Amino acid sequence: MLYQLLTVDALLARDAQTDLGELHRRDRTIGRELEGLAGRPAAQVLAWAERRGEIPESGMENVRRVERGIGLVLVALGFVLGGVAAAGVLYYEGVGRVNVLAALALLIGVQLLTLALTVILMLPARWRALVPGLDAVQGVFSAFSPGRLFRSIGRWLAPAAAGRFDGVLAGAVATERKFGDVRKWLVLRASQMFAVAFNIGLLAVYLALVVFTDLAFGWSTTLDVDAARVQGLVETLAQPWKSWLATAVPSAELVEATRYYRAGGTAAVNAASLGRWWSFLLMCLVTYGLAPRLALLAFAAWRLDRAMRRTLLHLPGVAELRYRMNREAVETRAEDPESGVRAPTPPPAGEPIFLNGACVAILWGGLTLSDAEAARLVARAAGLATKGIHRAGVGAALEDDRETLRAAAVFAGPIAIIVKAWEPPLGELVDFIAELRGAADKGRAIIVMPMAEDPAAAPCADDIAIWRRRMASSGDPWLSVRGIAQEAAP
Amino acid sequence: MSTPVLAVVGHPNKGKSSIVATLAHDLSVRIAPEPGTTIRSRRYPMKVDGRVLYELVDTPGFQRARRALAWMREHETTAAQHAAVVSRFVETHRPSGEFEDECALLEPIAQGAGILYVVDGSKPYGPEYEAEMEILRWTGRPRMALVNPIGAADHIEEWQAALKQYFGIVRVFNAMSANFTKQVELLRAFGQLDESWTKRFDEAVRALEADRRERHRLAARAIAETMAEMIVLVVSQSVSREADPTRAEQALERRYLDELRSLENRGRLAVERIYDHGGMNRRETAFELLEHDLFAEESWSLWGLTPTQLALTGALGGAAAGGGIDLAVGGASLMLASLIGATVGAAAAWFGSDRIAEVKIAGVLPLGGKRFTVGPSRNVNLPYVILGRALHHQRLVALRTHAHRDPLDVPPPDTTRAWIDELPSTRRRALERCFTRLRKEQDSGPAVDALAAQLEALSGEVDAVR
Repeated sequence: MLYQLLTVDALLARDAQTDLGELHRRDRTIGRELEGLAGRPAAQVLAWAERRGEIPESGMENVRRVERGIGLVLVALGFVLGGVAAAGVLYYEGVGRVNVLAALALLIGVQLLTLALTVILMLPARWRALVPGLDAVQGVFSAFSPGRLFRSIGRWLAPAAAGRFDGVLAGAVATERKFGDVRKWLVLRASQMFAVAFNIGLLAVYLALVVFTDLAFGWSTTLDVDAARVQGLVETLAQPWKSWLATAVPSAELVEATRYYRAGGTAAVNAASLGRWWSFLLMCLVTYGLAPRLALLAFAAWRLDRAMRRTLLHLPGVAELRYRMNREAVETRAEDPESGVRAPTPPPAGEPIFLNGACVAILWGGLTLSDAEAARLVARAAGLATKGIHRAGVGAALEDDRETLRAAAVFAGPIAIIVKAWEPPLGELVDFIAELRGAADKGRAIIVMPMAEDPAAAPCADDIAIWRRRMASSGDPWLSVRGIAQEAAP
Repeated sequence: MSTPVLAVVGHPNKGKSSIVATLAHDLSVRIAPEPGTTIRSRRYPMKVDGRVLYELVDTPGFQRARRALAWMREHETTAAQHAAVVSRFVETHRPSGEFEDECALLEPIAQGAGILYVVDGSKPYGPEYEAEMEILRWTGRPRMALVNPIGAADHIEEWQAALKQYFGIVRVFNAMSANFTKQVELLRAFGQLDESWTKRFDEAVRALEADRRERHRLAARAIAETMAEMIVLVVSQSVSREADPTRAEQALERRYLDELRSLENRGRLAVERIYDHGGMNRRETAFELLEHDLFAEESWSLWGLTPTQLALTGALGGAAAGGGIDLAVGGASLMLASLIGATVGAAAAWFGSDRIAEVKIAGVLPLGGKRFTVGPSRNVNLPYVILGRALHHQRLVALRTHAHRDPLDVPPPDTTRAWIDELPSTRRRALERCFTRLRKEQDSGPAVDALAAQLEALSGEVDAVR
């Protein structure tokens, strides 16, 4: 699961560089194939990663190996330590007896204590907060938990995978809170793996000793405890199995008979009966050692899986991924890149054209100015007198345009064309000017004069700039643009 | 049923590309003040799971409409032949390259596209538009005129009077400010142009609305995740015995604030990507989380709680904690713990409101020196400041049309204290519960889910604005 978690994270990180439309198309296709899993988000995300079929980063493949390796180390360690513990407690060299009470205390009592602490560790933080001091106990206990080995899993991973591990489980910033449950259950599951292996090792060595040696069990204590009380303890411990496995419950006679005193020697007892304790001790180890650990292991594994799945759904980009998979892919953008655009024209260069004398003026594009107004505008723009005024463009027939061209061409001075500054220069005017240039002398100045909506005002500088660039694109050195200056105050 | 196609046509530089960018949510559309930027048609198919529901075509502007109309009139026979003459015009001039722009824009119409004629309502109407409108009338295709006011001046009425002579439907639509509701209203109106289109456009609108709701939901989750990271942020630093602890503390505090800024920025990028504004140019008022005199800081007074709200919020958190003890002792404490918790919470919120970062000593190092940590911040106001800013940013991004090419300015809101005061008290209490959970719980996942659920309603409010 850890491998899958990190793989999903790496795949999503890679997708962050991909175009959103493309992502939506791809993930929607996968999502439709996985429609049956839409109600199980984590399973759907995992299936998505599988469909992608990519190993997103080098080093990712060793995550599984490391995860398995650490698990194996813990299991082996637990098994060996369990075996050593059994051998130590049941050490018997033919003299004295194996004290059942000591064996119960060391093999079962200690385990039940650690079991209780493990359960405390498993409690939600807000429950623990209700009992003062519990957090401190838990802190000490968790410091010695073998499961902590899993916390440092990053050390054994390849650098890329290690970075991702830290990123997923610790967040991009150092915080212990993000996905804290994954870390908690990762440690707890690992410690239960260790504990189960410990119990199996314990049982294996115990059974080996039972089979291959003649363990002589007895019980002994300095305290003033009579056989009836020990019998009571034995009966209580044997509650879970006494109804169906009576042979594993020592009888009162056996308890009475197997008491021994180091100083006073032992009561005369049949040597064979000394070994009858073994089945009771075996059931104790299975019932109070192995079984609860197996249950806790299953519980921790279930909680870890749940925490992992929740973490998976909180990874950056997973909410978007689920949206892409499960929602209709709505696309509105262009499929092809923008290509049909005109490159911007460079700004006009060169010296301003020197103008003097009189000119002929053309009102372009349906301008409704009187001749006198037009003459004043030309004077404001270029200081020229006006000898004749014509109209062309919108509002005039195409034949009238040609007539205007002829009239302007025969005039010897500059030609002024008054245009609306707020309207863009169109191809029609560019064509007209080109025809005008063809009809007139090459060196004749043609001046385009954009006027503002209010004839008394100066046109906007941005509009003038647009006109300049458009006229400059013709490459005619005698074609210029002059904005009409603001009317002087009377 | 053939796919409805709408050709967006008009004079150059009147906002055709802006209209297309807004309706197609496409930042790649080139929008420039230079007239005649578009020289070729570009298609924008609206697809749902690969099925095209309609298509927009951005076209170059008319350059020689008067001459084109003159050619058509020369070849006119009867009014019934007008559309055929337009098609012939395209066929005749396409190969030669003459009337290049007119051919490019009339071609999709000749092939059956409807017409969306765009004019600038901030510029006066003039007779130079009549030739192109006449050509469009000749095509006989379903058509609508859009008055797109690019500048501040208002010539809309003048335009409407003229456009009604040539177009059955005339609408005002500002490509820069039209919110989502206005955009879908326009799409529905497209469906009215031709009876056979209605179903397609209705279906498209339903899909777009569902998609929009989903994006708001994603934005809410992105904000919740960012907030969670900011609230639980911890930075730490080991400081040797020889180092100056005061300087180390200051450096660590600076790092903490930088991390907060960086997280906020990351959250904003995520929200921008969700609304297809990825890679936008953003200019913003710097997020200055200053350590002292918080209430003197404009951003904190704009986004955060007032001192009274702070005290009430602190009391709420304190009472909740005290309530836990009351519950644990089965009410034997006569709710005293709740009362004490509320008082302590209110006092802590009031007096602790000017502290954002607090450096703590996390432990002593084996070889001497100390380990300092900062965070998670216990400042009650911080989540509100973060949330107010995040929602304001989300609102700006969600309302921003794709016709904008200028940087997104993230200024403080116009109405001081609007966001927090307009928040219903039930919502604020629910938010405070989420913040408390984030501060306390070991795993932020469930609290992030709860916060995202609260924010969904807030993030979707942008489309309620008309």
